[in-house]
Amino acid sequence: MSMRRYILRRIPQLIPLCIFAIVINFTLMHLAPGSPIDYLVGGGEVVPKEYIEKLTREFGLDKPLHEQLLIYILNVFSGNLGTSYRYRTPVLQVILERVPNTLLLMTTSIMFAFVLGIFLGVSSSKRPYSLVDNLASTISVLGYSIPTFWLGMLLIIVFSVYLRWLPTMGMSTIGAQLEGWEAVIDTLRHLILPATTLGTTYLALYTRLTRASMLEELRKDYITTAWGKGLDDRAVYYRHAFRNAMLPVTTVLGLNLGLMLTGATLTETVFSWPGIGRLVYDSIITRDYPVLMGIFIIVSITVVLANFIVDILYAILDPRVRYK
Amino acid sequence: MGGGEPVLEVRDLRTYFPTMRGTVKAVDGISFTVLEGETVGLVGESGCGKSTAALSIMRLVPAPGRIVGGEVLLRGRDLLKLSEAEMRGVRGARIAMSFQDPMTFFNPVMRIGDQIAEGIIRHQRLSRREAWEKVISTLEVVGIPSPRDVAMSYPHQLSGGMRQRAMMAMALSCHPELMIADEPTTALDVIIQAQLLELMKDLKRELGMSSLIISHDLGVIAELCERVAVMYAGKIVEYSDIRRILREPRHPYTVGLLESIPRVGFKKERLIGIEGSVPDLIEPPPGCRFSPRCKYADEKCKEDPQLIELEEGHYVLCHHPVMGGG
Amino acid sequence: MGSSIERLSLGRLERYSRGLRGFWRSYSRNRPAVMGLAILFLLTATAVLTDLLDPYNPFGIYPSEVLLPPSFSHPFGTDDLGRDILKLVMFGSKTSLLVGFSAVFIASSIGIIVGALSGYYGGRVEDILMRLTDMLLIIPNFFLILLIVALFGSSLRNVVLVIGFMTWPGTARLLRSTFLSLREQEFVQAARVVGASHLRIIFRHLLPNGIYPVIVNSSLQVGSAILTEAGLSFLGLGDPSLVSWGRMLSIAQMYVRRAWWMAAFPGAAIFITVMAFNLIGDGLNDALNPRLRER
Repeated sequence: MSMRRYILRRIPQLIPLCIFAIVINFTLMHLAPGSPIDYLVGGGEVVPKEYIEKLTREFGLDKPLHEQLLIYILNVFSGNLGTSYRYRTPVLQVILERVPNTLLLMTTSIMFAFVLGIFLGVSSSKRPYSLVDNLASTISVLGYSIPTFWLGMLLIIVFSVYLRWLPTMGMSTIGAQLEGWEAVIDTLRHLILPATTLGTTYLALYTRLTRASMLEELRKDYITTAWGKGLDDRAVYYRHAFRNAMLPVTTVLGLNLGLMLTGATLTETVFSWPGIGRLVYDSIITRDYPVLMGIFIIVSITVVLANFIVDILYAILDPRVRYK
Repeated sequence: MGGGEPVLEVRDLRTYFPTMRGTVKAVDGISFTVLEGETVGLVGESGCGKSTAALSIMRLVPAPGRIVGGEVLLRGRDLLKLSEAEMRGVRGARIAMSFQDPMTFFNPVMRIGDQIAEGIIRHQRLSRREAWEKVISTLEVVGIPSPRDVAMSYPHQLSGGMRQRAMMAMALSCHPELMIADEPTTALDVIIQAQLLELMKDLKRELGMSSLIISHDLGVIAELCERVAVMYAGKIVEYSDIRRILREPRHPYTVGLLESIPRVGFKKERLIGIEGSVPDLIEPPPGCRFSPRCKYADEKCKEDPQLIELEEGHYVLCHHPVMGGG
Repeated sequence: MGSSIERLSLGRLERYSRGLRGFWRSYSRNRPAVMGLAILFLLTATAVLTDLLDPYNPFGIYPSEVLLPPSFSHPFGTDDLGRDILKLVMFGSKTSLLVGFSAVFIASSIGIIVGALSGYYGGRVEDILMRLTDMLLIIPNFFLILLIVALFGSSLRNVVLVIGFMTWPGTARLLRSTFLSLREQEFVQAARVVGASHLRIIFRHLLPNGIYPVIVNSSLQVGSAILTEAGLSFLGLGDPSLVSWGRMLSIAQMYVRRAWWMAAFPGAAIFITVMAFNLIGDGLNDALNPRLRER
């Protein structure tokens, strides 16, 4: 089927991008002050000599540079990103342990923002310069400008410190031995503030994109045809304009995944949410460079893959791409 | 032909577009009638307001345009007084429109069949499956050889001629009382154009439907229509049956149009027969709007001309109607 | 795709380059945009005049005035070292504007050169430059900036250079697509026929006509550069020898229960500043976008 061919054709294009990220990492490791060893384990003097020798062998650090690069790329592809200085465990493991928490936070925020953002975007495109539209534009300008971490702190001040409704930090109440539903509810209570914080910044993005894209589509000829058939608002806006408007929106969302991860990092830092973002902060503070570099690679590869998935989604939504 | 009850009567229709520089009077007081079973043509250069007139009848004028006056009577009922919901029941069901460029007027991400079925489901309350059966039979009616394949296709997969036929099928699918066809042949090459004209003549004979054909091409109009209204700068300047227009045109503009009758397939929309170009509709020339391009123009043409009936059913908007052919 | 600016219908922009007066007329009708400009003036004045007006030592310690809530003598309260937050916020404006403007200056310069070269010459030059651009565009740039600053040190100079060198691809793409459409237009063809040199065509004919989307984009980029700097400082990667709003917030985290004002005011300053640049960007976009102007 043509869809499978399309996917197969796109896969080879992914590899250079992943390698590009790895090469950046490799270059930084060699350019930065200190020896590459520091960036594979960190804090060389505390590490036992045998371990350093083992790593030197593993990463071919005594070989010429181009061989080193090749060895490094192979290592990364086989999951060897070095060892965390702080945790004394493989970097990949440290990172993967945090992934589910970040996913929980991000998917919650995205769902909240996506539904509301699309609703606001579509409603405001129906009547440009109306009350709803002005509300939507205001939300998106505010959401675009507000520093994520500041919004998080404000929510903590209002809802945790003064109103005492919700917990300030972490994913669960420390010391409480909760089980079953109680544990779930406890986690949800911890999730509300960070998800609202992150969701608000995403909301701005989705509202603005949806509105712009809908306005673009509503100007097009096929919309006149749709009205000409006697269709009602719902059919014209959702069945016709919306489906076309989603095409550019999905692409831009794919490109903005990096931005969304930035938001997640800052939000997790404020709320001590034990995900990748908080790991970034902890690694900066403790100078755990191997982890920081590992996160960069993992995040880069994730973004590349996400864009690939978005391209496939695009092909599903747009027959013009599929049948070529 | 003709002689029946009027299906559509347009009376003094005005559609204006406010812009930052001033108001564009795209349609400025036009009147004409389409009788039962009759085909009427609306002809003029691009920008004369003919497409806006068609969209006004459908009440689909794009913002910021607005219908500011007049009446559009469908079997005596003024469409301009209907609520939006009532109007939706008219569009596609009682008046259907086929559009100029089917590439952009079809939704690119929906199958042709679904796009046609939509209107049928909406107006005839059929199930999707039943509607698709009707889609297939309508596609057959417009002479599409493998209707099922076409229905399953997306717009970009079809040839221009096929798309235009599918567009026709979409307009015909709910058996409208009036069909408006905007430039039905313009986007096509010569042979396909000729085939399509044949198809439209056949359809006209078989279905006996009333229609309004909009074109810049008097040749196309002459093939299909009994009566024709010539539009210039938002106004109808001559209105008569087609034979009289072809034989003894009275308005200097019509004369020019006839002289420059493009052969079938001639795509240029500018007229060679007439010097100059369509006037600025924000500040139209005073009096007769054609006067700056007219070789007969004199002082009197600075005053607004009145529509005069030269002989029965032949109207001209001119101070100096041409006599004895062009 | 990229940013929202690419929605501009690029081909027609050159016709609207007729003088500043027409531009100002349509810009000034957009009230939020005028407000953005007013905020920017106020900020710039603050940044320039703070040192001159009030010789305050932002690195001093004032033990008797630690963590005072907002009052008449300290309208924004004081921080954990007893320093006046209003004054710190005023000092911080200098850092933010400096980072914002210089990073974007670097990014726009690189972006303009890369975009102009690939849009004008096409062919292999374009292939290579655009492949690099696309790769950098996909790599999550905040994480890359963060990594480089963490490895090489978080001095102001480093922060500015890294942000500048990592955020040019958007500009490059924008200018390239403008150039591609302008390249084929009559006035460019005419210049070529007359025998104008490549540089002359680029600088005298193409750039003046294609620069508007870049200007809009730059304005938005200043806002995001300021946010990036604040984010870095918040994560502990700010220049320790400077007062910065992000760093103030980072410290405020520890006192969130006791001193809300430590978080509220510096954050509001970032918010307002970034918003000013976004409003200006939107205003420029509307004023320079012919499609909206005709309304």
